[in-house]
Amino acid sequence: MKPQCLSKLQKGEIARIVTMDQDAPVCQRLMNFGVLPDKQIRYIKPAPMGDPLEFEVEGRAFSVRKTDACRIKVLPINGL
Amino acid sequence: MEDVDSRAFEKPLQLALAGNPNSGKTTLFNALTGLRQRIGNYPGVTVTTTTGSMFFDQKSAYITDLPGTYSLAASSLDEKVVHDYINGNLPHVSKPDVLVCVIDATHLSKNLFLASQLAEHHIPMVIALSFWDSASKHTHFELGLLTQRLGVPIVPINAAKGEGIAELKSAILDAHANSKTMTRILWDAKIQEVMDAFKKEVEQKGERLSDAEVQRYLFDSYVPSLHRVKIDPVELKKIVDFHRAKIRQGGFHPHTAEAVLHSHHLNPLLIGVVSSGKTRTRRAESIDKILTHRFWGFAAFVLFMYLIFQSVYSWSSPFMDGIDFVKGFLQGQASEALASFPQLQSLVTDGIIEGVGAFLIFLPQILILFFFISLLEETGYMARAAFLMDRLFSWSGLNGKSFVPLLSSFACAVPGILSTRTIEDQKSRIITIMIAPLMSCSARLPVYVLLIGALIEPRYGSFVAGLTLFAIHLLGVIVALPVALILRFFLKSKQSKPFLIEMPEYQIPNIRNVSSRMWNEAKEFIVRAGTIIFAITILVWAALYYPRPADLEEKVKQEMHASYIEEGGNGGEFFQALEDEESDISAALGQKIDSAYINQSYLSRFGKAVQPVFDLAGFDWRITVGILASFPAREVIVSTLGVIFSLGGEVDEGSHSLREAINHSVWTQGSKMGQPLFTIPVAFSIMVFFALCQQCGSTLAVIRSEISTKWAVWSFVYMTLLAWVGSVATYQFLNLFF
Ligand SMILES: Nc1nc2c(ncn2[C@@H]2O[C@H](COP(=O)(O)OP(=O)(O)OP(=O)(O)O)[C@@H](O)[C@H]2O)c(=O)[nH]1
Ligand SMILES: [Mg+2]
Repeated sequence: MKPQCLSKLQKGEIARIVTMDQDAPVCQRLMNFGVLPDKQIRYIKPAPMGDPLEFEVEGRAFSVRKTDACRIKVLPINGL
Repeated sequence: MEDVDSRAFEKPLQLALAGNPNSGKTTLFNALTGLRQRIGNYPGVTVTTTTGSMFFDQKSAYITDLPGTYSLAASSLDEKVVHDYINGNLPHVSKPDVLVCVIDATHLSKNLFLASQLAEHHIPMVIALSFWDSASKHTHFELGLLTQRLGVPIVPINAAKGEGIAELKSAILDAHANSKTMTRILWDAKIQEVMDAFKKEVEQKGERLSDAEVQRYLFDSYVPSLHRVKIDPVELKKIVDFHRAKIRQGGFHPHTAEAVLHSHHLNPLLIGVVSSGKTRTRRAESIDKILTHRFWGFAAFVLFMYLIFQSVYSWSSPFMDGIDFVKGFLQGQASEALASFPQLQSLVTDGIIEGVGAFLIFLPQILILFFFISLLEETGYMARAAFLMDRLFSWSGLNGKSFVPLLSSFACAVPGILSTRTIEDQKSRIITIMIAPLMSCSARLPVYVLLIGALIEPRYGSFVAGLTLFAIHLLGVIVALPVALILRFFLKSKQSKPFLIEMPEYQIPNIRNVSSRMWNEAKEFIVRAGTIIFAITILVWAALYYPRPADLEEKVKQEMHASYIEEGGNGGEFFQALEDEESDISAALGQKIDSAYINQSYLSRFGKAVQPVFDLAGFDWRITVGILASFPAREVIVSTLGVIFSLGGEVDEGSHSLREAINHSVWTQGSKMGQPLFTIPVAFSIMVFFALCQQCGSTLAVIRSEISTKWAVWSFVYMTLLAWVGSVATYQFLNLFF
């Protein structure tokens, strides 16, 4: 399966982070925040107007904008 | 000499609190120093450094609370402060002797990244594990093992309850005495090579950099400008770029290598330390099912805001009546005591007590407002509100991080503007600062409540009154969005920084934090009553009381006599009635004399000269004077109006309240002579003026220091014009209906 955009996950879906665009400022920020490749990420939900999106990594929730989220490629983990 | 304790001569210890945003640094700071700095359950409450003093058994120490940051790779102003402080690059402060790294125990591994970065500074360190109360419920920590591995004391604390403070203090002394620094990362050989080479090259240019500074130069996405480094920036950038290329060749990305390598360093250290029982479900998520729901989220937001303003409005009435009663009582006492010194009597009763009292009467509203504001801050709702609103704000060039500064501007624009330091993008920051003063701050509350209470509530009831208060607060927001849009158009576009906000867990508000916030605000409010309000009140009184021409009373009496006869009255009867101080004619004469004095006073002459500027907005000279007096600080309006109406004799014996005076006052000049002054259109016109006008010296000073004088001038000019246009439009439009 090909890694997909983080923003393409279904609500509540869990995925593993495969790559993060290291040139993107948002990824640099997120990596400092503790979001790193290989970690599990869960898409909680979008804001009422569709943007930004809320995610959770290791019990810590945060939100980023859709365009920024797409700098992260993930593989959904099935059956969890 | 030997028996003198040598420690008494030592320089006091310098401590610093560092840690991730929202990890509880300020809570700990307050517990250690006994101060009451602001605390809130959202990232970015503290944006500047605060230093306080504290005591160990025999030693005194200074401790500095730093803004929260996830990493030393700073991208916003508040984060840069942390970096500068720890490197001793701020003026007048030395490097800390001991770093207290505050780590949220519920997110131990992520929080340790910053600690590991800090370890590179070779400063003795203590780790304070905050949120121990909630973390230890679900998770078991092998703290002995971790202490051994990290090499620094680790102390679980619950700062809000004062638990672990004594242990923390002795750990600090221990770390200081034994120079306990945290286990450093062992850098990948290739990276270490690049760092050494960079350091050497800079050294050849005559500058010595510490290891930690080298890392900032190589890893941060911008080239940090350390003021002390005297190398030409262009040349420096070349050197930096050269070595960053080397890092890339080694298979790392310069801007992420740090995060990746520190995590590789930390993960093994954490093995066997943390064992969690059952996985915790985040309480926040079920609450957010409603509070950030597609529809219910917004409904709840509007409902909260409405409830706040309704309560500010209706809960405060009994307290206001109480204050009003005390004010009237004091005036009565003072008036009697000073009866033989008419000037002093007038200064004290019509000037000081009336002016300061008219201001103080709004203390209950301020307290209620801040009660709610601190509830919002404490529960963790602020981050949700930012999440809800981000899209709306992004349309006008703002990001979600603008939301918190704007929301705090509803309390006061000054801290609101300071908190824009968390916004990385300079353009968004300027736009946010420019619109922050449009948010209706608590200083505007008195004038709104005064007018709504005098004119809206008696006619339309308290539901509409609350709604009006809500609407007038909304006005600033509605006007702010297009202003932001226009500013975005004019400001040259720079690369915009990403939006990332943490959504903290909800928590039950801590009564101590709430009451301390209310207490701080009340104190400030009362101090203002005793200083600026007091001073301006006396000035206004003097300008209204003088001059006192000797023949004025006689002239008024003659005029009144003449018109009495003209209307077919009997001259003798007139003078007879005057003998009786209780008669209608006496009362009418007294009133006429009062208003004759005030009409020829310096302030009135000045007001009448300026009044044409505001004629289209429906303001008479008194409102004009009130507005002009309010430019240094907008809350002055209520005390100024209080003095004007009191001296004008319109606050009579039976009704001391300014509210009633406003209801009865009439035009004293021009074509509208004799008509009621405060009509519904005038009330709205004044409220709109105050909602939009930049009447705050402190805000202008902050804008000046946070951006530049130019922007402060712009802020003043555009808001004042906007206020004039807004109030004229409101008056003219409403006049069509009322
Ligand atoms: N349960 C619990 N809550 C805490 C503890 N320490 C702080 N809090 C709460 O956590 C929130 C954040 O506390 P602050 O002290 O403002 O955090 P800060 O680190 O100064 O945050 P910034 O200034 O934004 O960086 C507040 O709501 C506190 O009441 C703790 O030990 N246990
Ligand atoms: Mg703080």
